[in-house]
Amino acid sequence: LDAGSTPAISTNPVNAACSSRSPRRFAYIAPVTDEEARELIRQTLEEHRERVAAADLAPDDEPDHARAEDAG
Amino acid sequence: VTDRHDLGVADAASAVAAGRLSSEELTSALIDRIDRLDGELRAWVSVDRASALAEARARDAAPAEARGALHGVPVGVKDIFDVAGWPTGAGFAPFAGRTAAADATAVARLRAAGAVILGKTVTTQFAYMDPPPTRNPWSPAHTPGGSSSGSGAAVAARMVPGALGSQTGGSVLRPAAYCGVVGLKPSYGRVSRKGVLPLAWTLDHPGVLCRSVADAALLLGAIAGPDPGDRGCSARPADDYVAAAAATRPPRVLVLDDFLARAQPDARASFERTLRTLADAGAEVVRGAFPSRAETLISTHALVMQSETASVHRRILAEHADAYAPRIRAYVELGMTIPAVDYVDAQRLRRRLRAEARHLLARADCLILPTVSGPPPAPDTTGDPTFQGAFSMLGLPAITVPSALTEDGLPLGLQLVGRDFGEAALLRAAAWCERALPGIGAPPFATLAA
Repeated sequence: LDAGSTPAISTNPVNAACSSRSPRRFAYIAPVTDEEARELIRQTLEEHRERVAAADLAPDDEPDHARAEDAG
Repeated sequence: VTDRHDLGVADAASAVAAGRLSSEELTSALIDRIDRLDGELRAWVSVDRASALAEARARDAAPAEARGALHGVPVGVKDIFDVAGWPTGAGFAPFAGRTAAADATAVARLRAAGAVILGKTVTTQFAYMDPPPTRNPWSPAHTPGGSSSGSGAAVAARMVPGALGSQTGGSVLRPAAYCGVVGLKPSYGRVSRKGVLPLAWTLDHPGVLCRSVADAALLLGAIAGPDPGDRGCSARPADDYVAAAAATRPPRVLVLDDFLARAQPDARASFERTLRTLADAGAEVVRGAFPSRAETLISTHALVMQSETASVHRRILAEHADAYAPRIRAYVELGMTIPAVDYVDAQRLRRRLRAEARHLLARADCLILPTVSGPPPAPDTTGDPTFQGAFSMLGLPAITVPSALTEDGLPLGLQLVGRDFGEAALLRAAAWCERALPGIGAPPFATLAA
């Protein structure tokens, strides 16, 4: 499939409905071109960064060390 | 009489064990079906007829005392898992000639349980979100999801009763839901990642796709357990998942209203109907939400994944940039710009969110939410991973069971999330829900092609 060749939003009634109502609510509405895909990835990355930066973290909120059993 | 290709994992294993069907007959029937249908569905990267039939004949010749729980049952393997002697292509042309020297641990354990490795199923490139060639068996105008696209489509189209997949964002549960089958992502560390191409080390989970909760229990029982070859793999022994999936007690489920509010209206309405069906059958339903809200889980997952994926890929990208599909290339390139402090903050939030999940899970047997935010979209996307990725980030076991069809005949899934290493309890709850729901049957593709 060529991501640049299929106009996904206009051919998918579900996504079309969502995009007209709230385009940012569903983050993975199909981009139409590769450049749009890149722009969507850039935009969503910025949103994620802003949201994490705004989180109310205290100094004793240590990082997760990724071992599932640590949480046990 | 059930057609051979309609047999699930457990039924196929029983038929072979009882001598009603040989592994060679079953394997041959499935290969014939793949030969006939895969030109259209494109779920398989490769099927090694000679190797699979030889393995099946060896299974048929094995003495009874040497037979495991999956004896003679063909399975598919997502093409990021190593299978000895076969290339691990990962949808990436420069890897086409990279032949694996040994089986991934999950593959070796399937063989040890008696399974026959039928072939490699299509993955999106490097298990990210560039669209695959695979079509959805319910409608070729819709994505099968990804990244375990071939595993989901092949299982739904009755080409194979079960397959391995992997999930870093939503790559087991999303294709399973879009294809109308069962998908299980166990706890982080429950199944070894050895021999599986990484995408993001602290998020990568091997999992299974099949057509019933009992089959998921059987497959998980075969592949779960400690592996010194994967330093992230837990030393805890596996539980008896098959026994758990046979239990009948109705569960207490906690609806995640913060996620539900993000679902598309039709998917939300369908979920509420499913919930009423479960409640009418005896499930106890309580409601709640993450105090930090779904958006925080989604962003935390996203930053951890993109940072780690950029680190996994920066050197490969430097060497083979032109071979990358556009979305993963952009994802890696932009991922390399994420400041370290953002990654560390995301890991700090992750710890807090895991504590929030534990508090929610103290109120119920499992969390419950739609598996996907809506039905499968057009095939130039693999769909929205946010409803699954949050639980990859938390490392909790999650399962999807088919819950309903939309008015357009597209499948939706019901997601249950359990406690850390609580796969047995999760399978028990999922099996009960599966029995309480009416089921969605086989996709039109599988029926028309019968």
